[in-house]
Amino acid sequence: METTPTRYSPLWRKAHQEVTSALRMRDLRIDPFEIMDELFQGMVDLMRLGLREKYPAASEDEIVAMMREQARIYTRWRRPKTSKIGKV
Amino acid sequence: MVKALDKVRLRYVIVGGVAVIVHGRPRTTTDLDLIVENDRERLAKFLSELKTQQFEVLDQQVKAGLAEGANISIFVKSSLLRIDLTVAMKRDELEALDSAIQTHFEDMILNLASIDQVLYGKLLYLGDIEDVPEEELLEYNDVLDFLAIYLRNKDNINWDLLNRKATQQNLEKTLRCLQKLANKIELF
Repeated sequence: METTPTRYSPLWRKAHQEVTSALRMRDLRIDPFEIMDELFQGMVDLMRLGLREKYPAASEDEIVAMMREQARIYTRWRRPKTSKIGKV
Repeated sequence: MVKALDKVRLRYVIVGGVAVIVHGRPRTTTDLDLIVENDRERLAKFLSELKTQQFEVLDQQVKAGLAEGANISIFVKSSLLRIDLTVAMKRDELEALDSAIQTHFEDMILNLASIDQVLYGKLLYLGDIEDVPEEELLEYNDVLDFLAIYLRNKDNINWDLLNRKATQQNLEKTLRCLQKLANKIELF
């Protein structure tokens, strides 16, 4: 079913913002990979700090396991049932 | 990791989220999807090399992955970054390997999936989306990946290749649907 995008639809607005970021980075010659690499490292450091504060007695291995579990939750993307991956 | 691949001369191509980021959509990912050539001797050398560095390679998982043609997950020690390794056996995987492009990152040269291959991968991930309402499509990360890469690189896409591959997989309607969506976003 087709819909007309409006400024009041959060999903259309988000998609527009996503595309605009990609286009702006291209026009400003900013490398998205470098930005995301820094952001990723920052995210890992923050996550580690937060978990260390919450679980001061945890071992480094336990902290890493908790970080991996959180990342798994955050990156569980939605995908249609008609996906052909694994069927080709 | 790339240095280990180069050292043992194992051909590879980076696909998935990292390829999406390099081709222009700034988004997060915690894994690096890698397709490598089916050369068991070099693969074994590569995995041995990784074991000497900061990577966790589980022999049992490697064995099962190779036997079943499934992904092999390799964790980076003390990090949440994971490498998902696929040994190229299917036609699409071999084509992705053969059409890899080179890109520079810091002091390294990386082999990366071409724009057309990344877009084609998104079509495969999405499958038949004809009956999915447009608004719902925007909830899929793969759709946002496609829209951003498509609009950012419109003039550099190999349309003959993408159309041919979409037709082979019966995914022309998916491609048209995503192009239509991209046009709407552009006019938004």
